[in-house]
Amino acid sequence: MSSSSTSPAPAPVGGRPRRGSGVPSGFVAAAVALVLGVTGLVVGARDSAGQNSSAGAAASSAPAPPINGTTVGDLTVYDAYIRQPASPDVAAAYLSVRNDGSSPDQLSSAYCGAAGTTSVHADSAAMQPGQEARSTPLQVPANATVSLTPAKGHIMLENLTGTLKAGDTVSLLLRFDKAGQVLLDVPVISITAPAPGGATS
Amino acid sequence: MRRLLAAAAVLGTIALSACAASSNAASPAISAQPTPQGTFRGLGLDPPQPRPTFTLTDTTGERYDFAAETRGKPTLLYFGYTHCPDVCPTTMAEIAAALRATPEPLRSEVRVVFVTTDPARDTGKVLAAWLRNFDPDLPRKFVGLTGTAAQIDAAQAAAKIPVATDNGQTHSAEQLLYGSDDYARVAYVSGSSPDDLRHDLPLVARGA
Repeated sequence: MSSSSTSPAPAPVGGRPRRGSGVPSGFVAAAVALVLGVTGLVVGARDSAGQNSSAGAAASSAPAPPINGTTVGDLTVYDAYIRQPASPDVAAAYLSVRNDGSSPDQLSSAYCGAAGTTSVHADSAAMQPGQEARSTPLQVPANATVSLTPAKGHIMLENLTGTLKAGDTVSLLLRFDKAGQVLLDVPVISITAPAPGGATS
Repeated sequence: MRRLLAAAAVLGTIALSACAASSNAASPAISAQPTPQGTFRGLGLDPPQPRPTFTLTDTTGERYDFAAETRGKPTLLYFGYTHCPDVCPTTMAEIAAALRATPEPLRSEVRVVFVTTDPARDTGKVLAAWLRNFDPDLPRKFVGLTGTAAQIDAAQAAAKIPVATDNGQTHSAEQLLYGSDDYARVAYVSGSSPDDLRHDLPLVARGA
């Protein structure tokens, strides 16, 4: 610990990385451990930092303004979209759900005619090494609004039955545990189009 | 060894697992390091990371010596996979958006290199088709690289980012930006605004 070489030396201009880089295997192991550890941090952090956090929505006691969406029971689903996929095999749908009721609900499953397999991945960070991507339900707390947005969660459409292009509309059936099921017509938007509702990507 | 581990700690905190599992700069787990110049909008890397040396295979099947092909050019390096449903395509679209907002001649100077972490599925043909979704209108096409799993692991180690696991589906979300002086002083994670990259490109092009 008494070493005086702890301050990072400024990178020499014109310096070259050594061929092969000489990264010790211990570094790799440490880095892998770090990235795995960070997953937990990010999961925990998101709840307090997410702009769509249910806590923030629940804290508001004012009546929610009307929104243009599809209603089932106490739930309103809005701003649903599918980004035109770059891969021929997999796409993702995003949406927001507002719960005006006093009891929580959850979105456990979905069905899309354009995909062989449709699954809800509300927690994108839940994927564990050595496992297939794990389906996680989207919790919709009472009097709250939650959103599936890129890097946070999505409805995964796999084994696409055809090509999805911007301008297409895809039928997506959502099954909520309490409110029941609701059928949406979801627009496919271009790779460069902004997300509806101004959701950040 | 101490410096390497320090670098690993910094990168570990901004790296994320799973294509789907990314981060945003507002997360408490992500802390931007102050940059010496204090001018970048991306996440500062301290110490700066030298442009790595590795050789992989491009989408035409030719050998691609990353250091030789990109030396002296502003270069964005990103590892991901094409079956990724959300983060990887979103990131590539944001990179393309930043370049569209960048004037010439810099726009044509910038190299964007995407290395697959899923070589079993991402053949050169698959990579090329995927990348053309993002850069059809850009003067310089994005470079897609693949190789053996061992070669790709080595490339990630050379770039000093956490090596992907889970058949490539759990991978770093970092995009490393190397400047004309062949050092990366700034990186981005998915969720970064394309405007951050657009802002920083001229700086690294000058060797800031």
